[in-house]
Amino acid sequence: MGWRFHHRPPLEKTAERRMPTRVIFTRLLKYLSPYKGWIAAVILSVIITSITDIASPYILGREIVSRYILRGDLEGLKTIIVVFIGIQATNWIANTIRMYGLGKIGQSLLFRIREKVFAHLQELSFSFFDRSDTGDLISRVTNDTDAIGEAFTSGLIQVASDILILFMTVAVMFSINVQLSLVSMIIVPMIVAIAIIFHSKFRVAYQMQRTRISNVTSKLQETISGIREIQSFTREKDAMKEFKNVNLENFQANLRATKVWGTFFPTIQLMQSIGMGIVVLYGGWLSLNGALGPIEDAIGTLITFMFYVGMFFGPIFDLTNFYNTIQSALAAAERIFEILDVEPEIKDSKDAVEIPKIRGEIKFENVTFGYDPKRPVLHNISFHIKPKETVALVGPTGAGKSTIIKLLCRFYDPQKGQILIDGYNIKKIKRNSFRKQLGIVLQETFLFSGTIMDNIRYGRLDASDEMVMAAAKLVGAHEFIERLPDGYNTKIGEGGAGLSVGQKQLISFARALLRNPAILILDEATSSIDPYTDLLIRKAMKLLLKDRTSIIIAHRLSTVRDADRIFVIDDGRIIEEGTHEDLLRKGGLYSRLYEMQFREPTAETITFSHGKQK
Amino acid sequence: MAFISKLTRYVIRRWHLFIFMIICTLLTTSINIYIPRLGGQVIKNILEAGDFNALVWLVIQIIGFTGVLGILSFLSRYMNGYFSQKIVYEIRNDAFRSIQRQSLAFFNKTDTGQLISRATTDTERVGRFLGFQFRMLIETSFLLVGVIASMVMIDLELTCISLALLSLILVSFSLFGKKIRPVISESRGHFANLTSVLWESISGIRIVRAFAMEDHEREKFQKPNNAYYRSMIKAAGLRATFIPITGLIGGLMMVVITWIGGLRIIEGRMGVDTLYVFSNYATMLMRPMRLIGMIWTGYQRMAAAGERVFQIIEAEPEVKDKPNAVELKELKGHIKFENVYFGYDKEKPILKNINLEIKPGETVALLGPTGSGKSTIIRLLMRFYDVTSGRILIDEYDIRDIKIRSLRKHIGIVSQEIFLFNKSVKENISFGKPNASIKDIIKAAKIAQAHEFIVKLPNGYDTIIGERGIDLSGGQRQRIAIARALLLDPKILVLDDSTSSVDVDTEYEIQKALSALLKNRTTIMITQRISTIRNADKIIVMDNGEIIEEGDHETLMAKKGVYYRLYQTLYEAQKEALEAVEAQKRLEEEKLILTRNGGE
Repeated sequence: MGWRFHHRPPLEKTAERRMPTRVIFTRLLKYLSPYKGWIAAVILSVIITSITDIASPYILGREIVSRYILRGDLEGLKTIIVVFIGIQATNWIANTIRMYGLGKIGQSLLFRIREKVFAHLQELSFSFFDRSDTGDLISRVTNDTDAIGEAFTSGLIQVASDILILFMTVAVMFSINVQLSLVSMIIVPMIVAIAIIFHSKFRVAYQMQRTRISNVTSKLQETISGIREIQSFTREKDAMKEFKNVNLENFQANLRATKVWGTFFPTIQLMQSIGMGIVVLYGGWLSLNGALGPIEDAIGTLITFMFYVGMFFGPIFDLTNFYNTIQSALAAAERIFEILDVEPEIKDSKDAVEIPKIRGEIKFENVTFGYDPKRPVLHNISFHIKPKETVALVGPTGAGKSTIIKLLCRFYDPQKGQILIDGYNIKKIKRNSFRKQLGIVLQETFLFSGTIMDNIRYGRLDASDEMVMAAAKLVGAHEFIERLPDGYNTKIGEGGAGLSVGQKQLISFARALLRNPAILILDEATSSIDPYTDLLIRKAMKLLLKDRTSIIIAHRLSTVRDADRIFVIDDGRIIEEGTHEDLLRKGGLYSRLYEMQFREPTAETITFSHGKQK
Repeated sequence: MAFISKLTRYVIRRWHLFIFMIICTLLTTSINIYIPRLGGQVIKNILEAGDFNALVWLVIQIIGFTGVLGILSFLSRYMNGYFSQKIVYEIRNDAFRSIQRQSLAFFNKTDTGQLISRATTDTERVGRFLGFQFRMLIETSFLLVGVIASMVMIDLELTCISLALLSLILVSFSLFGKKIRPVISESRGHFANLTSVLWESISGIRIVRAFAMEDHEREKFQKPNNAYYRSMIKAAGLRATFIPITGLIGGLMMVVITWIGGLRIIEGRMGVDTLYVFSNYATMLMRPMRLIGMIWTGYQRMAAAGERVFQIIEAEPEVKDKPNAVELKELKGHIKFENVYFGYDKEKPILKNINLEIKPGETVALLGPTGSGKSTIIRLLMRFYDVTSGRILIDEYDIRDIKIRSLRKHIGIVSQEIFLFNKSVKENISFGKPNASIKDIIKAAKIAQAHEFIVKLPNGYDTIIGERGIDLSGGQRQRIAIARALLLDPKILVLDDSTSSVDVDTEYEIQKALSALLKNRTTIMITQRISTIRNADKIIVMDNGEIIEEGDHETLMAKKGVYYRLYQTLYEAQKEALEAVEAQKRLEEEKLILTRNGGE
């Protein structure tokens, strides 16, 4: 079986949040621990701003209006104005500290999260990437971290300061007039009810927004990757239609969020107005009956209360307002934590050792493996490769050749059996100490953006320019590289755009050789190299393969003839083994494959139903 | 700013929503200005120990107006949301359309992460501006006019003083805007870099692992992550410096109003209720002043983002239809290259003076070392790029005079690097011909030797493949791509090294099937297999962007040139094998005779 089953996507894509809010909170908070100093400063400044915010209406109503203006006390007015100025200045300084602190904490949080997610992605196993959608992963690391933004930290601080203000306001109100305060509280249950009703609506709407934008990203990604196909097959219109669909879904999700938010805002405003009305009516009633003292005091008290009722709604309004941003921040955080929570299937065991310089002995003992454990791709494979031996793996597409190599590199762990390198169980050695001594050229070549020099040097960062060129010469890449506009310093685009597949293969070949690896693995490394270059390389290869253990997968049997031994693999089993001559003599699958390659195709007439029938 | 006029085009398209939103805003603003007056009357009523019933009536009015205000403000928000999101939708569609029109040179120059970030995050930012800051701008301007007029009617002197203080807020914000703008665009740049590094690291994860370069990648990511962090901190610093100043100025304004108003009340020139109304209005102005700041920063962000988005939308494809380009209905398949020169960089030609004629129905094999220009010939024929000089003719039409889509419709291509979509096998095969019947799809798959493995997939032809589906091997992907090209029944078939990842067994079968298919169409193939090459009507040997030899197998062999030498070497390698196979055959026959005899 040549395919892998993506039976269970590792990351959920549904809109529902699965992680409890408290868990996300505490996890995010953990990232904040290094910034205790800043957090303390921010909290202090929040307390100061809250106090000054609450003091202002009191001073304005009860002091300035009642005591000085209405009573005509000019000297007193002067003094209190100076105090008032002082309060404003304090408020300003505290605000500056708060804002900078929040920015600092928030950005540091993001920085650390991105760093951690990236590092974690570097650890995750291949099976994770097999099953994940690249666009979705990228969106989680970029868009989602951005969405946590400062929203989380400032939201959190805002919540704290709002609660503080709320309590302080209520306390001050009660200290002024208990009856009036009690009446003002009537609308509180109504506000709470509204907040609860809107709670779930916000949640669903915001989750949906995030999922839908990620679909848009994936579609874009797919189109850009497949642009050559789309243009060749003139499918632009259909691609456009598909994109419009996901884009429209995103639009609808956004509109839905707008609707929820648009209803919430006026509802709260109406509540505020009703609350204000109640205070005015009851306060007016009390005042007319003289229950608020002399009329000067009554007016001051009423003005203070009207301010307070306004302030009272401020924090509640803010709470729900920030509730949104926190909601989307939490949703985003969850999507990031989901990545962090994926355990790498393959990690170094605790007792893993650094493997010393490898001699290159490879042993597979009864290895069984399937990408989906229920469908094994390799069945009970055993073989022994001696140091410096060259072994070729041959067999039909999907037989399991590449899988053997992936297990050897420990990209996956076998379900049964074990793999030994120089007698060490591969599971007991540190992966990187082992992979550092491997040189691999994979079927799908991948080059990084940067210069050709950088790309070859990727195999060995400390290699000098001369060494890089020597490796390129050895594989026959030097000539075409020199012909490029800037030679070795030619920049190549993402995925090596601008180079042919054969050229990319040569570069990745040079990249592997530069490492001077103890074990060299060539997985269809020369499949797209033209016969000229192929001949050129073949000579060099003989030299190269001599000093190390090599495993070669090739469809072109001419490439494998010189191997010390050839394993013929079919349907996940080694069915034949021996030298080229042995195998030909044996007359099995190998000789059949070999014959096939040089046989002439014969013509048969096949036509399509929509073509002209013959 | 040029892009504002571009954005305005999108806004104007939704003019009715826009007008409706303005009317709603006008009404809400009027109500907002009226309510403090009612509040003032409440105070007056209480101060003069007036009628309680009048008080009740005032309160009912306040609540009633707030209710109306709520309905209107919902409508205006909803309209605005609809209109801004619709614009995001349209801009994003336009960006996508433009991306699709671009020639391949564009994708070689631009990286995917950048493109995606422009079409998603940047577009979103434009939407956020229209949906929030822009609405605020309208609300604010109405409010400013209404409130200032009301204030002037109360007390001109006090209004002037208040406005003088408020104008300081504007000054501080324009300064802020000037300082933060470069920081913001810098941070966007870093963010885009961060995305590309991430993108590359995930796409190339197999190589990263194989080379044990995880630490190196982590370091690579550090750089943009750090730079982005630093620029964001810089922005936070600027915000923390400038924004609280507005609060301070607002507070000081309240102090001044109270002081002057207080003096007037003491002198008996003003009532407490008037001061209440006035200070309410002054406070109402505070919000717009703060918002102007937000609108300004929002605008800064949007401006940078919008420019990037429109850069994509307005990118002119290098290859495009001429206005009078013709539709190519029927095609004989006659291809002619006349003195064609081409280079991605005009200074460095990759193809030099290519002259080539392929007659209808001919099969041509392109041969030559890596980088000699074989694939470029195909890219030019497909018009992924335009020639630098010379011309390419198809059935006597210069391909630049033909509609690109109609040209490509006649060419079936199997390229070197195969991309399959995240769709079912069926949809992938019928990619070039979406309305093909399942019968034809299966037929094409059978010829491409793909049918057998497809039916073994969990859902057969309906199995989803690609990134979020089932992974196929290189050979399987190639066979699907061959089926995809065959289904088009194209007049011109291009096979760019299309069977390199297929094993010999399968390749043989494909070759067998193809040889029949090639008969009625012009075929260009790049291949390394000598057996295929030998059968071609014409072999073109290329080196360094030039055709160095041309002719059929026999002619070229007789010429004893490059082709001859190459063929000799390969033949040497094959001879041994062929002999071995012959020996094997004899052995098998002998065995057969032996067993037959034994059996009798």
